[in-house]
Amino acid sequence: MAVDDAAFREFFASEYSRLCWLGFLLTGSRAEGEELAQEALVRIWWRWRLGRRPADPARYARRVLVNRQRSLLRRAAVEARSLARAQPAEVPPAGTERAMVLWEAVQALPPRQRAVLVLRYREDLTEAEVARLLGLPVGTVKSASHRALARLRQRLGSYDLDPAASGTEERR
Amino acid sequence: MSLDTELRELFGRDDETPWPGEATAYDRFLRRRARRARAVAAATGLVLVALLAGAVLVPRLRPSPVVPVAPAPTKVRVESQGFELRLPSGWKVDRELMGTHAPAAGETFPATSIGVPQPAVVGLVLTPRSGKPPGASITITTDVNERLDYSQVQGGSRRADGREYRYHRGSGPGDVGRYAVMWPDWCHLGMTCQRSAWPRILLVTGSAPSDHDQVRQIMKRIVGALRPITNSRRPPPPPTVPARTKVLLGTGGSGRTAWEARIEPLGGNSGFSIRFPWLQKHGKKGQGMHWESLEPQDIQLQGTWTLMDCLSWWSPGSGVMLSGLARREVASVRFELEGRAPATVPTFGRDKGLPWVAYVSPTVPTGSRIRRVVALDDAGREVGEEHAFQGDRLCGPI
Repeated sequence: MAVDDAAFREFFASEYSRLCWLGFLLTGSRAEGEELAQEALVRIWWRWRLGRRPADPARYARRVLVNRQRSLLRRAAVEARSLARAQPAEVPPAGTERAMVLWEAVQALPPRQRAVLVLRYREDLTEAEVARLLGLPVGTVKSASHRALARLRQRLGSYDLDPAASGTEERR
Repeated sequence: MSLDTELRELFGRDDETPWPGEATAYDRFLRRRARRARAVAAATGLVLVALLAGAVLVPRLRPSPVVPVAPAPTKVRVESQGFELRLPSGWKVDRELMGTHAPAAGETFPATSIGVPQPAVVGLVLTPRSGKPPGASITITTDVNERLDYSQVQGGSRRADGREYRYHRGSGPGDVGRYAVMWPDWCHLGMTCQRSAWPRILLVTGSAPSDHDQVRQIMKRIVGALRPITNSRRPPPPPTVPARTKVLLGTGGSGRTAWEARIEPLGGNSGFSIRFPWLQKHGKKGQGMHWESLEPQDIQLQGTWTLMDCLSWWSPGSGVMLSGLARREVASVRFELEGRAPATVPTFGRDKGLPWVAYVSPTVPTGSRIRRVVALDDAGREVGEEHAFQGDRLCGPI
C-alpha cells in the first residue's frame, strides 16, 4: 500500500525534534538520541506503508523509541567497552548553572532510573504506564523513581532543595 | 522550587527549540529508509567491502619499519589532570602552572581530604631548548576555567586509544591554535567525577610569532604522545553476573512473611529479588515479588545495597523488612535506626560463587527512620556505609 508521503512528512516534522529530545534525555548523547529517533521513525514508516498506521502515531513512536533504547541497554556491557560511549553525557543547551548541575546528576543515574524519571517527568506517564513501557513491575518503577530522586537530592546537597515538596512515592 | 518542578523544567526546556540539523533530518531519514530496504543486499556487499578494506588497510596499519622514532629524554607527569608526557625532542618544561585540585574518593594525590581543593600542578608550558622558533611555546592544561563541552572535540580525529581530538585554528598572528582532546575525569569505578559539572578537555595550545606549521606539528605529536594516568584511566567495572543468572541465595521468615532471596532475571536484565511465597499464592497476580535490577556500582561503592519491603501491607503489624546485596567481603550488616538499638545480621549466600552476599534484616517497626546501613568485615571493621532511603520514614509518608 502506498504511503501518504505528505502526511508522513508532516508527522515527521511535528515529532522529530520531540523524539530526538526524548532520545537525548534517555541516552545522554545527542548522536544516540537522534539515532533512536530516526530508527523509531523508520519503523513507523514501514508500519504506515503496510497500511497499519497506529491510531496515535506519536505515542507509538515514543514506545518504539523507548523499546529500542531498552534493547540498546541490554548491550550496554559491550558498548561500555567503547571509550566514546563511556564519555560523560553531553551538556544540554544553555541553562542556569543549577540546571547544569541537575543535568549532570541526572546523567550520572543508572540508565533505568534515568528512563523512569524522563518518562514520568517529561512524558507525564503514570507509574503503571512507565512500568508497561519498560517491561518492569510497578513496584520496581516506584523504587527506581524513589532511588533516583533520592540520589539527585544527595548530589544536589549543596543546594537548598525542599524534599517535602517532591511528590515521591515511598511504597514499593 | 521542588525537585519535581525542576525536573519537568529541565526535561522540557528545549521542547520548542529545533533539533540541530533538523533541516536535513528528513533527507537523512530517506537515506536510512532506503538503506533498510536494501538491507539484505547491503549485508552481502558489506562483507565483501570489509574483506577488501581489510586486505587494503591491514598492511597499512602495520608499524612502518622505516619511520625513525627518536627516544625523548624526559617524562613529565601532571597527576591532578591525569596525563604524562614524554617531552618532544628539543623541547623542555619552561614552567609548571599551578592551580587547585579537589581530590575525589580513591585518589591518593594529593594525600588530603576528599573534596577539599588543594594546590596542585595543573599544566605545563613547554619551550624549545634551542630558542627556535623564537618566542614559541606550547601550553598543556585542561579547560577548568573555560568550561568547554565535548562538542569542542567531537567530529575531529581520534588518538590510537580512541580519544577524540580536534584542532582549532588560532585567531591572531602569534596564535598557532589549539588541540582539544577528550580527557574524561574518572573518579572511581567507572563513574565520572562530580567535582565539576563539566567534562574535562585537555588543551594543547601553541603560540609563536612565526613558523606556525613547525609548532603545530610538535603540538600534534604531543596530542598523540599524552598518556593517561591517575584519574584519566578508567577503572575496571565492578564485578557483576550474566543476565541469565538464577540463584537462590537463601530463605527465611515464616508464615505470611516467609521470604526467598534470589538473583534472577526479568525482562532480560539481571536483578535481585525477594519473593514472598504466601503473598504470591494468596495475593493478586503479580504481588509477592520485589525485583530490582542489579546496581553493581552502588554495591561496590557503598558496600551494601538495600531494598525495603512493607510486610505490614499483607500481614498487619509485621513492620518492615530490609534486604539487599553486599560486597563479598562483607560478613555482617548493621542497621542503624533513629532512636533504636542497631541490629546486626550476618550475610549469607557466600557459597553461591557470586560477587556478592545477601542480607535480610529483622523486621523493624513501620515508620522507623534509618540512619545508615553499615557493612562490616570479619573483624567487625566498617568497610562500607549506605545512607538508604534518605532518613525517610520506612513504609510511611515522607
